[in-house]
This record gives sequence, C-alpha cells and structure tokens, in this order.
Amino acid sequence: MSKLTKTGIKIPSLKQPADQRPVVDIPLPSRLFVPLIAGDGGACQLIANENETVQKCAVIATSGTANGFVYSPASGVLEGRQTVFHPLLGNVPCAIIKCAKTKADTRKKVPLASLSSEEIINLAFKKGIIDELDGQPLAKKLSACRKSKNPVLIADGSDSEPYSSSSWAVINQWGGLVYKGLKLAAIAAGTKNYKIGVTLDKNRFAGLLEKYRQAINPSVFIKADGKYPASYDLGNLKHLKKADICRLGVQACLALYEAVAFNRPQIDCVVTVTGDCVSNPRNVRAPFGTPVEHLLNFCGLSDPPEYVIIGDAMTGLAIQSPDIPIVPGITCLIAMKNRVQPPAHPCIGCGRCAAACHAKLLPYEIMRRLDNMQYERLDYLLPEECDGCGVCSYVCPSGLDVADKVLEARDSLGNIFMKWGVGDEL
Amino acid sequence: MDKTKDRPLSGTVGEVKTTFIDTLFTKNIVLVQAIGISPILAAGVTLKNGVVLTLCTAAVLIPASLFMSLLGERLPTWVRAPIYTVGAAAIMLAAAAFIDQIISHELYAALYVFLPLTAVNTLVSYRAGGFSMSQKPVIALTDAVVSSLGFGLVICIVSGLREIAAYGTLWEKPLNFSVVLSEAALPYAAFLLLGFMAAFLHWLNSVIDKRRGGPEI
Amino acid sequence: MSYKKYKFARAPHLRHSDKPSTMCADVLVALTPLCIFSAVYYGLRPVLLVLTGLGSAVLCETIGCLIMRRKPTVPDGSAAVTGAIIGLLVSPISPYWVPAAGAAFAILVVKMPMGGSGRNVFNPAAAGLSAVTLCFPGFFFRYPDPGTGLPLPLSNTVNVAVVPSPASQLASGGQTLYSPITLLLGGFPGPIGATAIIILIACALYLLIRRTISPHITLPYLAVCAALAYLFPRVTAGAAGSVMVELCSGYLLFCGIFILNDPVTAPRHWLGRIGYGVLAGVLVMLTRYFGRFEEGACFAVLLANAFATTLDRLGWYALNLRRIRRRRQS
Repeated sequence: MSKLTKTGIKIPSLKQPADQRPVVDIPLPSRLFVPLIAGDGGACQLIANENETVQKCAVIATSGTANGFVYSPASGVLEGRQTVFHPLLGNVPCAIIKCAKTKADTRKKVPLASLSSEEIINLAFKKGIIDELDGQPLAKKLSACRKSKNPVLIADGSDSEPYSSSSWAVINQWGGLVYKGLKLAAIAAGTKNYKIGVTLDKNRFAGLLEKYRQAINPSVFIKADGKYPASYDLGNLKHLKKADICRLGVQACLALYEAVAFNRPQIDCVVTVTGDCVSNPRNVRAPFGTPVEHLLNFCGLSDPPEYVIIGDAMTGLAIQSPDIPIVPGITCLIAMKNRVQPPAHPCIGCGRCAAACHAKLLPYEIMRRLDNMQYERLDYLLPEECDGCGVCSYVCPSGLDVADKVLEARDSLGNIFMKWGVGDEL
Repeated sequence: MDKTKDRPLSGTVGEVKTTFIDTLFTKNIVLVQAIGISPILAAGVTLKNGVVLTLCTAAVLIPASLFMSLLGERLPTWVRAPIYTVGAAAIMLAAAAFIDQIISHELYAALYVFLPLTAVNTLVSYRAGGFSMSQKPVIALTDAVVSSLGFGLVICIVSGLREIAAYGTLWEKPLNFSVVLSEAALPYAAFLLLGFMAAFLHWLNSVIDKRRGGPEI
Repeated sequence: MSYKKYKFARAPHLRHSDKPSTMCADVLVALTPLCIFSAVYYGLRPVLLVLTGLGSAVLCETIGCLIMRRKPTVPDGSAAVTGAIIGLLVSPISPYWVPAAGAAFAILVVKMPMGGSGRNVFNPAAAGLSAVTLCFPGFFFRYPDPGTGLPLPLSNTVNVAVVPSPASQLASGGQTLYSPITLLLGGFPGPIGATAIIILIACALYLLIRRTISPHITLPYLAVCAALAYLFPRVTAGAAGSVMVELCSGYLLFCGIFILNDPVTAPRHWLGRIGYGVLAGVLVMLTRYFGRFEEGACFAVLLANAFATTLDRLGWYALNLRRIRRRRQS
C-alpha cells in the first residue's frame, strides 16, 4: 500500500548545457599530483628517481605485489613526492610530475586474443582500473560478481544525479568501445546478462540507437525511470527485480577495453565541470592528478565561487582549497555561488524522509535518538543499511541534515551503541 | 548495611538540616520524586480534604518510619512489609473512626476510599519501608515529618486552587467569583496543576543553583 | 597547500523547495472554503469566531516564545492552524471568548510547555477543544437552525432558538431527521466548519494530492467508523443510512481530515499510520456510543496520540523483523 503514495524522487535535471557539448581533452597543467595508490588499493613506492624523465603510461611506482602499479598520466619530469591531504583519500603521498609537451601518442592495437576471465581480471588489477561509481577496483567487483548466482551487469549510464552528464557524454562519444568493454567485463564476471542503463528522452535515445546501429545490439540498452538514486531506480525495473545487479561505471568499461585492446592503463577520466560560476560548463577529459583549479580555469569562471564541490550535488564533498588533484572516482565538479540552505526548524514529523528512503529506514527516528542520546536500541533501526544517497535531507521541509545523522550512526561502527551499557536493558 | 548509626552525634544536626531542605524543597516528595500523587488527584478537591489527608498521612508515616528505623533491620525481610502495612492499617482504622464519629460524617463520606488507601500509599511503603530502614531514628523521624509536610504543602495548594475554581468556595466559605470551572474537580486539572508546579520548582532550583555557583551534591 | 579559499557545506547541495510553512499554508487554504460556507448560512459571525481563535493562538504563541526566549515560531503556521481549527469546531452562537480560551489553553498549556513547535506530544487543537468542552459544556452542542436564512447577530451573547443536531439525535436514537442529500450539502445544524460534507471531501482530495495529509490515516479511520456504524446502528434508518448519518454528524469527518493528520503528533511510517487511524476510529465511535457528550472525537484523538510513537515503531519493526534478526546475528 505504500507504493500508492511513493512515486520516487525525481530531482530536477541541471545538466544543460554541459551535456550538449562534446568531450574535450584539457591542455596539460603545469604539474600533476598523482596519488601513489595502486589499483588494488595498496600503497606504492616510487621506482623512478627524482628529476628523471617519465613517459606517459609508464610505471612510476609499485607496491611490490603482482598487480600493484601506478602509472604516469603524462610525459614529463618526476620532481619528487609530497603528502597531500585529499578529502577522498586522506593524507596520501603524491608524485609530482612536471608536464612537458609531447606529440600525440600512437597507440598500437594488441591482437585481441580471447582471454579467460581470470586473465581479464588480472589485467584489470594490473592496469589500475577503478570504477568511478564507488571508487572500488573494477576487478574486485567483477570477481565478487562471479560468486553470485544470477548476476546482471549494468553499465550505469543513467547520470541520476542532477548536474553530472559524464556517463552520457562517454556513451555518446565512445559507445561502441564501452559496449566492447562491457562484453569483456561480462566474460570476467562469468555471466551472459549485461545491459547498458540510460535515462534519456525519446529523441536522444533514438539518436543514440541510430548512431550505434552497427556496433551495439539495441536490446542491450535499458531505459531507467530517471529517479534518484540509480541503485534504487535500476533495481526497481520490472524484469530486473529478482536479479543480483552489479552496477559498473561506463568509464570503467571503456578503460577495460583500452586495457585489453591497447594494453593501456587508466590514466584519465571524464569530469563534468559545471555550476553557476562556470562560464562554459562542459565535460572534459583530465588526466589523474590535475588540480581542480586547472579544470575550473579551463572552463572559465564568470564569478569567484563560494563553494567548490567534488562529486555531484547530492553526495558531493565541498572542498576548501583549489589544488586538490583529480583522482579515480571523481566525475563531477561544481563551482557554485548560490547554494540554498533552508534555516533549520525542528522536525515537523511529515515522514517524507521515511517515505523517500530506498533502503526503507526511518531517518527521522535515527536522528531523534542520536539527538537525545538514546543509543540503546539504535542498532535495531539498521543504520548500516544506509548508502548515503542524501534523499532524506533533500526532501526534508525543515532543512535538517538528516542524511548526515544517519551516516554518523552508521559510521560509528557500533561504538555509540555500546556507550550506555550492554544494550539489552529496558 | 549502612553504618550511619555508629557516627557521633555532632554530624546529625547537619544531616537533619539537609534532609529537611531536601525532602521539602529541592527533592520535594510529590513534585520531584513523584510519590503519593494519587490521593491528590482524586480526593484533593477541597481544602478540608487536603488537610485531613495530610494529617492522616502524617499519623501513619511517622510511627511507621520510627518503627522501621528502630527495629527494621532486626526483622527478617519477608515480614517487614506486612508488619508496617498492618500497623499503618491499624492506625488508619483509628483515624477513620475518629474522623467519622467526632469530626464530620460528610467529610468521611467525601474521602470515601482514599482514607484507607493512605495506609498503602507509596509514601508509606517507599519512605518507611525503603528509606527509613537504613537511617538513624532522628533522620527517619525528620524525614517522615518533612515528607508529610511536603506532601501536605502540595496537596493543600492544589486542593485549595481546585476548590476555588470548581466550587467558588475556600474552606467551604463562599467567595464571590463569577467564573466557575466546574471541571477543575476532575483529575486532569490536578495533573496539569502538578505539572506546572513541578516545572516552577525545577526552575526555582536551577536559579538557586546558579546563584550558588554549581549544583549542590 | 591547505589554505581555505572556499566555504564548507554538507551534502546534499540541492534542496526541495518545501518549507515547514508549506503544509500549514495548504491546510489554511483548505479551511477557508469552510468558513465561507458557514458565512453563507449564518452571516459574518462564524468568520469572526474563527478569526478570534486564530488571533488568540498566534498571540499566545508569541507570548510563549517570549517566555521561553526562543525565536518566534509563528511563521511556520502551526499556531494559526490550531487556532483556526478550534474556531471552526465551536457552535456559531458561542461567545467570542470560548474559542479564544480554547486556543490559549491549547498553545500555552499543551503546546509550549511540551517543547513548542514540532515537539508537542498531544494535538493542541484537540486538547484545547476538550478543555473548553469540559469546562463550559453549556456553550457546546447547541446549534442554531441554518434554514432560517437570517444572519446571526455579532454581539457576544446570542439568544437564538436551538435545534437538535444529527449527533444529538444519534445519541437519543430513533428516526433520522435529515435526508442524505441535506447531510451532504450541509443544511443541518452543527459546528461552524464541520457541516459542509461535500466541501470537506473536496478539501481532503486537495490536501491528498498535495501530499499534506496521508491516506493511510484518513481512509482506515473512516472505514472503521463506517464499519462500526454499520454493525451497531443507533437510528432506525437501516444500516446504510446509519453509516451516512454517523459519518456526517458532529465533527468526525473534520477530525479525520485535519486533526488526525497533524504531522507532529501522528506516526510517520505508513503502517503505524494505518494502526493509528484504526485506533482513532475505534476510540471515536466508543466515545460516541458510551461517552458523556454527543461527540467525543477530541478526547479520542488525545488517547490515540498517546499511542502514536509506539505504533510508529511497532509498524516498522513488524515489517523489518527478518532484516533486524539477520543483522543482529551477523
């Protein structure tokens, strides 16, 4: 009966005009700050020496394991290393590369021998491919997928958040390659069910099908409803309800294809640069390690921004200094001046947060118990199931930071539950 | 087992004073500790009722507290509660007969079941049975007197206000008020009054604590 | 490397445009046609009564916020809604101080001391109405005849002939006096805002579409009231006729639309809301059958409010028991 009133959250789309422009490669910045973390998450040590010239796609650091490598995103001189505080990675050592102009690199196509799934997974680890949706290594996700019974791989091109259009831009420009990468991922995961999820109006969808008439089997595309968050939206489609869905990023599929076909590591990503302070909002392809400032200057700032957010409007982090480097996992950059924050009012009990929560939690109750320090039965409300989509804060008419409170309960790792005794007293 | 009985006498005066102020004011037996509310609700409708209930409670509580303080620890656990309840009931019988025959039959009828209920009131079982047992006789006596005083203060204020509001009289002498809220005689009005008085007392306590520069232990 | 050039803010950086006053503004918009309808029958007096209640509530809320040294919470509209509801549920011939006293009690005794706006446990409108009903029963349940077509005088006390309302007629049993059409169109004596049944249904639909009230509360409530009226009729019009009269008399429907759906005091989860509606329906009908007054909905609402939080939690636990057990074991 709750379905009668639950129509899902549709967030107004703020993608224009960035989604109508093609992806451009940005000119190289003067310096790149490449985080020394390998594709499987391990910390790496530099193997190149200081002041040594490095080539693009060359290995500059290794963690000692078979699959732990860090590649240089551009040709230049390795100036040294520095510890940078990154909001997503914490205090991370970065290699500083001073970029030099090079001619366009030639890519030699490697004969596409039929690889087995273990070989694909190893290659994905080795080439450091990280899924941009959740920052997890792609190979880890695919090998976890092998263990489930009926997995369906979905390349998530739906861009469910309001500002970002990077997935659409990648599919539009390199759809055939994404499709080939998805097929490789399906071999690695050991499944025959794979789809590309999009949310497009009729005209654009028809245009996409027309463009890739030869390359892509049209039945691979599935149209999502355009509701936020994508995990709820895609999981709610009729024929996918019982399946075990594994959502992959389209950029990760593209990188997988490049890794298998050209033996190329993942050294850049497509980022949507937008916001009301940006004069030319568009999707750009930036090498990892580019400072955020460079991207903003490339797209032009019409006003000095008050907030710069990496990630999209619903889940993005507001950064405070402009020299944070781009790392795998960042697909959107917003420079905004007018940010609406309604004044906080006590909870009026409308229940919209509970109605909107796709994990079926009670955000208002978790918030109330945290505020009143009633920790005894807080874990019964299952805050661990929250995935941080932020919809509860979005719909709250009182302007409360509900999502923050639920995440605080989730991330306390059970410590606050134990604060007031064993937890079974009345 | 509390060894307060073995302390020298000089500390007793301070303890008496603390008990006095505590039970009457900062930890008022009705407003803060929420003991003994039910007679106020149902029978505390006129000032006469209030005074009579106070006297009966005092008549029951003081001997019971003294008795439990002096002899309570020597009795086995299972026999303590029956003894003081039966004792309280015996005193209650005498008091009820006294009120009925000597003071006023209507008053006795107006109090109907709440007079004998004073014998098993939480006041008696909590203060006499729980608190007084481990205290010196002087402390127990003071506590009993002051508890009754605290209870009496509250019930007289509440029943006085309710009598004025519901019947327009005070001690059965009519006052000339035009507004009569006849439903103030219902228990909900007593709950509201008690709630506001408790809030007022809480505010007074916090003001005094601030003046003293910190909470008193 | 770590100079602060930009400001810090928490996600999400986009918010829905609703404010806390949106819901209360919707309710006030829905209450306006009821005022106007009553003015058609009785003249200007009902409108003045509603405005008195509203003004008294707003004034008391301002005073309460001053005493508690808080920011004034009048702009969120909940005091205005409380006052308007109390004003709409008194008789058209009641003196002006009755809704004012009810609104003052509602705000100063029930709403402000319990924590103020957004934190009260009991519905202030229902509590204020209960208080004045109990204290001054002579001014309630005495309604003038709407068929006379004369506007009521605007003075404080009015001497007009009083006719029995459908609710009092239910209480005494016997034959029904009003046909179903009259009941729907509102040509019968009753409280100011609770007689225009058709307009009430239209307002309810408007509020349902705007997502201000919840169908999980109203529909089970009406269903339970109808079922009890069907099974235990009090008038000789047959079971269906009895349902019609019960649902249209007194302020049962008004209560189910406006008072029970007060977001602060009602449960928030859909299953808890259904339980709340059912409980409120049972209690309202019980107070009608066995209560002292012909309409006891305001008391029933207060009783149901006491169970609101428990029903909320129980509803969610019941649906998620398996998930909770799985988590606790892992």
